Amino acid sequence: MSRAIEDYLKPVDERQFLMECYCFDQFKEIGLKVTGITVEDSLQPCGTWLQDYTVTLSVLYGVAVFISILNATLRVVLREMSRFERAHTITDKLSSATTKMWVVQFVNSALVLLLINARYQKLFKLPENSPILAGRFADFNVEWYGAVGATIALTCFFNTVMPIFNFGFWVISGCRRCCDRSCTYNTSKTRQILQSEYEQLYIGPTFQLENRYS
Amino acid sequence: MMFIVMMYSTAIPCLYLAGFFICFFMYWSDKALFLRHYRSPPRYGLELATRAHKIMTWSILLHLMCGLYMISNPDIFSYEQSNLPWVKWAFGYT
Repeated sequence: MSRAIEDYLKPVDERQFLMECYCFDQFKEIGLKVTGITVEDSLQPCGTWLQDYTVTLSVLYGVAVFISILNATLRVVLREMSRFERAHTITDKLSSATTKMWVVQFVNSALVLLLINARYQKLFKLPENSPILAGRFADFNVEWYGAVGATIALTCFFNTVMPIFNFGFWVISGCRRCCDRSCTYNTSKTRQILQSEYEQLYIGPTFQLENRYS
Repeated sequence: MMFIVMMYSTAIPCLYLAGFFICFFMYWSDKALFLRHYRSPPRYGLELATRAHKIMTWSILLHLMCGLYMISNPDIFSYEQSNLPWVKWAFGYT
């Protein structure tokens, strides 16, 4: 504690950030009460640390979730737009949609994060306000792995659980069929008037092969 | 997503685990839903599978190039250049 306080009272560029380690250890033990730790009578360094820590984690998880949702939305948009290409066969249509989905997902998840955060000044000089290659990281250093690498890894791990959400559609269609039977076990009972409506309800949706391949 | 896993997995090894879980969950959820939920699909041609297969072969090259660049950071693996005379000779360093 005393070493952490001593380090905290130094100028910022001379600190070893021992107070952050101390606050994190205390946070694991006493939780949110860590904000009440006071040094030098009035300073509350752990309160500031907790605020920064929460914001950093929120941004990290938020970006990963945002990329996953954006990819899912773009997949739907691209699938719908591939109809306008008027391909001769279903395979041609799916093949075209797969390629576009793959490119969009790869650019969104891997390249955008890399290019925005990278700083490249060797062969050409870019202005400071350039949207790409004018970021914070000149190389794949420790800070890069903490900020960008962690976001990429989180995005990948969010995508691991995405297929499980498809079970939700199964449950929804099951509920719709149950409502159609007025919540009875009588399978011959239905509210649908046309045969096509009945088949639409009971056959199930199309297996989206292009999503899997992309 | 497997392409992204291949791109960064040399430097972020936990992505191999993510790749495994993506394949595992996708296989079992699709298998279960294919049998219980989805309608029988039409017969597709080989083109889609062939195109996906061709794209994935490029991921190996990307894996090697990105891995080489990321691991070559001297902060990760540092070494004394004077101890590697054969490397200097092989790569023409003076």
